[in-house]
Amino acid sequence: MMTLALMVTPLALLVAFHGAAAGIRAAAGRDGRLDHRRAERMGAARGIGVAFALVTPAVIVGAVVTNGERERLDVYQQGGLAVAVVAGPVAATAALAFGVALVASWQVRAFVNTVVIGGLEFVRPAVAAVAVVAVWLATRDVMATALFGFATASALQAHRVTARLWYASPATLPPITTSQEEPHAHR
Amino acid sequence: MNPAAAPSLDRLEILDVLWRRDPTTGTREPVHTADAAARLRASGQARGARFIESLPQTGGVLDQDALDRVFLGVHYELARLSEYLQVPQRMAAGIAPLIAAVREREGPGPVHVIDVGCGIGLDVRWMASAKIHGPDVEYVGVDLNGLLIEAATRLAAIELVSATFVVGDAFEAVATIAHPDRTVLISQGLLHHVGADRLTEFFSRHHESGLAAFAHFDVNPGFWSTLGGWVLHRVRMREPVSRHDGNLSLRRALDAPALLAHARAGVGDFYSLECADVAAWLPAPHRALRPIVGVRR
Ligand SMILES: C[S@@+](CC[C@H](N)C(=O)[O-])C[C@H]1O[C@@H](n2cnc3c(N)ncnc32)[C@H](O)[C@@H]1O
Repeated sequence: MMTLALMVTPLALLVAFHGAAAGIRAAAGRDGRLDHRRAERMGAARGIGVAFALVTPAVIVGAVVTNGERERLDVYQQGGLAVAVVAGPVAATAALAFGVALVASWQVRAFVNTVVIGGLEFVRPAVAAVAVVAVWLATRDVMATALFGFATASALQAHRVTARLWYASPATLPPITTSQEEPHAHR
Repeated sequence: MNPAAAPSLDRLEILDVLWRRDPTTGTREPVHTADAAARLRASGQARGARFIESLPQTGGVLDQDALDRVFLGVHYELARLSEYLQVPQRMAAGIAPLIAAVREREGPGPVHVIDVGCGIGLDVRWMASAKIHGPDVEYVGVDLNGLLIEAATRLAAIELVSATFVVGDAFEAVATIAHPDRTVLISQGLLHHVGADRLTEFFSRHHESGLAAFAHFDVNPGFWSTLGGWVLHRVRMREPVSRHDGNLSLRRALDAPALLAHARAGVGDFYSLECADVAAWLPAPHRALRPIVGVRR
């Protein structure tokens, strides 16, 4: 049980992080406002939900196929570890970059936002492909590789699905209001 | 570089042909699909022309709602891309010395910052909201496109930002500045829209109006901006028009010698001019947009 949790926790964190990033991207740039933190936080929550929903079929198939067998479980554990070893450092770098962007000067923030985070987003599909290859190398198991491949390919759709479900159109022009809104921070 | 020998900037972007206004009244006019597509085809943009033909239309006229959606969709995500690149911060830092120079030369009183080709006005809204240049600075945005100006006005209202937005042509806006001695004219991404044929004239208007200073920002053409622009448009922009026009604008942007030649031809020796391309071995996104700066002597 303990070892299963050791495998599931990092993978769940990866799915959550990937979903949050995909959701923020889907929500970003749809209303022209200076303060979009709340909108993008909502995007992150939606992205996380979508990412978990997308990997669920692969998890269910995995659970059925394993059927509680210790041997199969070990194989999936190996596969999960391989995914975490490949994608974990990339996610950790991205998380660190998000943190740096929050506190750095605008010059550094421009670099981090575009070169680091933008670059990582660009290579995301390649990282996912490498992770699946790593599963094969670690397990030499067709079923495990196919399942992790299916889960990875599904997770990669998180941005597209979130964008289509909630952000298909740009916001229409907001009405002029005199309501006193909170002044916002500038990032 | 001799302006006459400058590469043609006249490859049109999709958005260039989707907005028509009556030159005298300034009112928006319907866009005929065939005209818009033909203009793009004539400038070698067959893919862009096909995109236009695929937009909703009635009786050969493009549906206004569909066009609004395209303009807002593109400009909202362009604004967000500008934020990733910290463009408002870059512009604010770049024009701070110009504002200080106006204050020093003219004494106390308001300084006017006018952003021509402001789109939805992200840069002026940000500067006004942050009060980045201190008190007594009035921020105004001008754009040909009435829809974008309406969006900028409404956004400023809901954000409680003190900035004004008016529909107008950059050429006319420069010529009719009320307080030229106390005005700094700025732009971001406008120069490549003005076109090589009209850049010298654009700068000559600056001199005729007696404007205190100007800073026009545009993409610094080069390897990193082309590569970086392409990657960022892939990962951050979803609208097909954003990707098409964004990548094209990177190719339309002029290098510093060409900009300086146009500006010098336009303003003569009445302004000191500065514009430097940044040749970097490493990507320097905070300098990807660099200004041509002019200060009246
Ligand atoms: C690439 S967009 C840049 C918008 C904004 N400055 C930004 O950085 O997001 C160029 C803008 O210039 C405007 N424009 C083009 N020619 C113009 C002119 N002659 N006078 C005023 N605005 C113009 C367009 O309508 C468009 O909004």
